[in-house]
Amino acid sequence: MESLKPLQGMKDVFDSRARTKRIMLNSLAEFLESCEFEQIDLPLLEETDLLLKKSGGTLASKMYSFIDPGGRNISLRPEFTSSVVRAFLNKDIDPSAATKIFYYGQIFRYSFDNGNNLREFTQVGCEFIGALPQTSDKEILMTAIKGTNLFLKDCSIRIGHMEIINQILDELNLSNRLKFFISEHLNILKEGDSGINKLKEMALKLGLISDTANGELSANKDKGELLQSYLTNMGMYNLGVRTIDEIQTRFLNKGIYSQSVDSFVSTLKNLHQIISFTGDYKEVLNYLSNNCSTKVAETIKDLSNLIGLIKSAEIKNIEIDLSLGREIPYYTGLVFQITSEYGDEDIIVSQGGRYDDLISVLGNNQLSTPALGFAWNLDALQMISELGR
Amino acid sequence: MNDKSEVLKIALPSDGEMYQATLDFLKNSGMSVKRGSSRQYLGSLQGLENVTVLFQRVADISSKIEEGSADLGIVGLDRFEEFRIDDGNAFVVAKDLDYSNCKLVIAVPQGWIDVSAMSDLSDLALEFKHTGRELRVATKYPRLTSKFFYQNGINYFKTIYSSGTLEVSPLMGFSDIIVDITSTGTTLRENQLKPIVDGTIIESQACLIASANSLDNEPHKLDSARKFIARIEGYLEGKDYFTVTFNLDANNEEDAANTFLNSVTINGFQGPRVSRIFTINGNSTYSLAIVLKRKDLQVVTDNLREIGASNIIVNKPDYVFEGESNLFTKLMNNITGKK
Repeated sequence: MESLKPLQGMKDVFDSRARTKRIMLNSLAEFLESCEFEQIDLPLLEETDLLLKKSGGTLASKMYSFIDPGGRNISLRPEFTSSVVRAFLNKDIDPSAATKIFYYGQIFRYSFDNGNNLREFTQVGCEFIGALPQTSDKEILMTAIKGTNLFLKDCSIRIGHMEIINQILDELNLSNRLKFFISEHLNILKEGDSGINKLKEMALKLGLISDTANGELSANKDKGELLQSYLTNMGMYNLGVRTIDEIQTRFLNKGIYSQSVDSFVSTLKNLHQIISFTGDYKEVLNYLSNNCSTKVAETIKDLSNLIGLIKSAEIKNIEIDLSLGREIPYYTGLVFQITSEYGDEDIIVSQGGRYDDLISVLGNNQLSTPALGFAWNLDALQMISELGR
Repeated sequence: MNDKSEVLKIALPSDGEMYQATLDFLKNSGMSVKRGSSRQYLGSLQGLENVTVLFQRVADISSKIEEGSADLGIVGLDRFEEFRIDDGNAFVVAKDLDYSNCKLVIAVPQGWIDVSAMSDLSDLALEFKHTGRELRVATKYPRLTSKFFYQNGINYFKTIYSSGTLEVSPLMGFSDIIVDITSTGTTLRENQLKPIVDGTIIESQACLIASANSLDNEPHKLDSARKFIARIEGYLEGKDYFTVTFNLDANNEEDAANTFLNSVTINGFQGPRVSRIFTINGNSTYSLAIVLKRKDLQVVTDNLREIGASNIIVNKPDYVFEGESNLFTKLMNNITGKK
């Protein structure tokens, strides 16, 4: 036996702390049951493809994946939602009827550090599948707040909405590629000037924007000639699985500059202002409705109404942060985080969001099923509530 | 475990290009490897007792060191980084033995004229995802590959392990792109592949690795390890140094030394050695000698001409041994640090 220590990022929990954790878990489970959520127990291991291909995103880099003795590529679950949806589809429940499910257990997320960050977490969470936002958004938010309040007072909630940024991007008259590029990299944009610079460099390199006034002309002339020789010789070239058409389209699109560097940078600056305008919800909503189109304003109005509905809850602050939720690729509407102060830090104790497309993607059908959910990070809840004692 | 006759076990590559290159390297370091026949997997080092050489496949050396069944090993840095265990028992003593240089690169089909940089690949991975395909990467190095892709923000891809004929896999449709070792790029070109400009995952060369557990508290092994490492270091350092001797006219030894010290800022290890030349013409001339690093050579010879030095002769020492071996100190620090 080389070492008796647990693996990096894993913890042994003893005695009273283990007992407290169990009691907290039970309280949350009972609370969710009292809110009419049905319990589901899910496997710790899933096929890597389920977690990777369908949900993927940055979680992919954090998965514990390995080949089982039967040669199958499997992973420890890094979150519950994909498993819940898989089980939901498997059980053949009528998707038109609303279903409320809760679960608890461990999740695993590897991190490329020296074991400073935890890699195993205990979550308690729930999903509300098949109900429209008008009924389910408020209920889920209230459930998250009330459950947190069982242990912590003075929490804050941070609310975002995926559609707002998407709508703003739609209205900016950008090419699809550029729109997609920006929305995938909002986390970089959030860094401010350094982030804007980074994105500018990346976009230049990708040929999404041009740094010279006549860039388009000369670039396309070069490209035309290159393409000519390429097409003449294409029989000689190895293309792998891509078709000539695909390569040609992407190649030529690289030269179609929808924006100059200057206008791209000013677009980014405006967007940055919008997503970095975090803080008290009234100010943000006010700012947004004054600075956005009527279509965006409607979504903002919905969000505003939703916030009105939860104002009665015991919560210290309600903030809006439009850059929330970008690390989870399947979120579609409302996203939120509940945070609590721990020393100087704001620790996330619970988070979730709406994922209206995931069920149709995993189930391979066209029927979009509204769904949303969230999970508590039990370890964080316990850590902060123990500090308060 | 504390048997006094405990011998130091050194794992060396038994296959591939590194086999002969490692034997040559050790020979140049003054330690020829004696091996009964090419079918025998044990050997010894000439001029260094208490050492057994274990010939191991390149792919196995890192794990032999990690599990402690060998104490020291020579392997490519690429292999070590692929197989190492984070915070494990094996560590690098010297990562630049300066042979078997190669690069681990990402290569795509030549016909992909729209893909030249990592940002293109990241873009393409998303395009694949949106059309319901995966970017498949064939490689012998799935760990280094995944890590590099993640660091570059590419999360939608699949590594396909392949131990041979990597280069043809895009052509045959097993994969879309490959990650493989190249030194000249010829094989890539012959298989109609081109490297991505900023897609070099690691620049590799032969490196010396050690096992912390198996060396800890083993004075006999450590004694042999110190000698082994010091010889390697002496050879590596020797490659980097030059001895420069030149003549200067001066009244006496102090004058000669001062002329040099006052105008040449680089003074060798401690300063010049000065000795008198008994000249035929009766001039008062002194011979000075210093040892220099390669990078300082040109500046110093220019300076020497300016102060009127003549007969400047530059020699290469075979070895340069410091009083203490820096590499061995590093080894000991690592062993202590792992405890």
